[in-house]
Amino acid sequence: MSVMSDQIMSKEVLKSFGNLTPSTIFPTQNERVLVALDKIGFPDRNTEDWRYTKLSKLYKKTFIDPKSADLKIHSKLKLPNISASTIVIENGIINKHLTCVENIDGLEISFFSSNSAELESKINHTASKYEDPFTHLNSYLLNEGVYIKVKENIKITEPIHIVNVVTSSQTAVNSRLNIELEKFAELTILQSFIGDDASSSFVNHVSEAYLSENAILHIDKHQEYEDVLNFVSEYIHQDSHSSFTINTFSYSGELIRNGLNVDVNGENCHTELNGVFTVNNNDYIDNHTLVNHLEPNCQSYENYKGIIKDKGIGVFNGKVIVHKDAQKIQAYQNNNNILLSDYSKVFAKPELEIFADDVKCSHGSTTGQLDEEALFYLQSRGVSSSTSQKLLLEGFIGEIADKISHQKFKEYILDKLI
Amino acid sequence: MSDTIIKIKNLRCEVEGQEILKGIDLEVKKGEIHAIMGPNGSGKSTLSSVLAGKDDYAITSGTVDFLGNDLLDLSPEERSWKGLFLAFQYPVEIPGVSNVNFLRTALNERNKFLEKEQISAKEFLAMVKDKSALVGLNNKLKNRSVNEGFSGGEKKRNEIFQMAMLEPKLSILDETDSGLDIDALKIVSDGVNQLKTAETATIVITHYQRLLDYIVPDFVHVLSDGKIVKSGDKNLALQLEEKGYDWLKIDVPV
Repeated sequence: MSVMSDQIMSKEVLKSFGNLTPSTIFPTQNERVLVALDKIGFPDRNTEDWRYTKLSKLYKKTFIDPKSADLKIHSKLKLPNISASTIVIENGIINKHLTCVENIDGLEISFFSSNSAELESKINHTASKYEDPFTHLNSYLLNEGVYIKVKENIKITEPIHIVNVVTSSQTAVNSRLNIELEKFAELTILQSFIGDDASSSFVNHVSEAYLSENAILHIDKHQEYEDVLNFVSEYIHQDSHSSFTINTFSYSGELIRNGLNVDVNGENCHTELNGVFTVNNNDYIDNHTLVNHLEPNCQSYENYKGIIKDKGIGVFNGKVIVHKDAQKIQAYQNNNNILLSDYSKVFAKPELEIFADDVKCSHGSTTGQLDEEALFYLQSRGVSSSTSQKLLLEGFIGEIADKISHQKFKEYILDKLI
Repeated sequence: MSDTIIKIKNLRCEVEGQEILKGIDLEVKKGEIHAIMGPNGSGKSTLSSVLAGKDDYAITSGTVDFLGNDLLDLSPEERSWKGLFLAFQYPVEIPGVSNVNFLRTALNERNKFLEKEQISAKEFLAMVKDKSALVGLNNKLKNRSVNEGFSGGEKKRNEIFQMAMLEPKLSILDETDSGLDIDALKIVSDGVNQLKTAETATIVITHYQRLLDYIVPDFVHVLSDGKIVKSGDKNLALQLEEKGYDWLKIDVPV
């Protein structure tokens, strides 16, 4: 079996991942992955796309494989009971006690570990062209994945809740979610990344979604791993007339890196990327997004808000590319950040690359503090200073929180964001 | 019990080393309306901000007793809870914060502080209906974000609406007439007059005499260069209107 050697990784990176066992789910992929990793290497602070990501937080750690014995049958997770269909992946293993999937006509759910032969052709359909090292690493170390397919004309009305929970420390967990929507299919996913006694673990997750013509996919995702490093790489493919929305709420994690890539590959698509990141303590939250407009007559909307506290550091790097023949595109990108302490920082880099000549695009980013006048105004009416701050922050992120599809999920997240 | 609501003694304050208030003395009793007039830059708005607790100012001397409390020692919210209200000259727009929800929060936090019962949703709504009618505040505006997209007149009505909801013991109206047309001025003044009781008091800060035709003061004080240079009854305002502030500079030797 192929193993990672110091030929493809610097000693530093090898120290982090060198002890980990290659995945047995798609073993034929492993050789290919190693060749690719050898070619692209792991990023460091000189890699443009990673220059704001504090990778030293990752590389200085050493990770171990998840142990099945760690599985907590009666997990003390304080998650709201949200949906009839819940899938819990604990430390990279399906927790069968907490997983409950409703049987619905036209909805197909399977797990990579038990259906690898059939699913091998499904993975990396959109991801492969991006050549992202951590996505390759995910293929190589894959513990478990969920594959969801919704058949033509089927609308799944209840959301499916997918929980990625880590309950052991210093553990590397590599998980996947693959979604395939046939024509006119509809699906809502609630995605939770949560930890419990999981300090210094590394969760490297990859999501892929393929939206056929007229399909609708809505994802609400939250990340609350305390002291955990969480990389999420997302690759979305949209065919014509499809609609994709993702709302990302990140508020706890030693280092979070979200890499969200959308290929809009058909006409008349709707694409919406929203996010709120609240950075506490010494945490580091990095949001990278890319919307690739390859075809004309589409609209994309992006809105990210950052609240940075303590010594936290936030990153927003959003890129929209409008390709040469993608005329009549409307692409809007917005990012606003509030710094709540003298030591908090944000790096904002909105980017727009337009190669078509008949488009309507805008982008902008602001960073400031809470409005002192507004705080004083509320206090002068008898709202305490802490509540005033809370009200202003709720107001700041309100337009994004309102987009969460599920009321209980929204309340749960809102409570943690501020 | 004393009839005094607020007693300001030798109040001095400065910003960045520059003295703005240079020794203010003022006593306001229950049932009284005091007008403070003065030219631009005389310190009128600074006085109202200092009383409401804005921390941009360094208080260098003086005391302010508010219903037996050392006012300068209280946070802005505590001042509100104890019955002080400032209607802003420039009400702040606060996107994303609902006008009525924040008021409900304010009332509940006050009641908690005063160890009173929380106000029920039903009571609150009845109160909102009642008090907004007083200033003719449009229904739609009540549920919008605080002052966002309100016209100048709507903002001022919203101030008086909030004042009515909070039922203060002392209301300070900072240039409430600025930016108001004559109809709005009349509605806002009517609201203030209806809220007046024998137990409460009002300080009206204004540049022009016009507002005092509608809110008739018991006392008029003229503020100039950080000091009250003249006090009188409502006729003083009329004299000022006629002769201008220059007249006082001659009248009062510095």
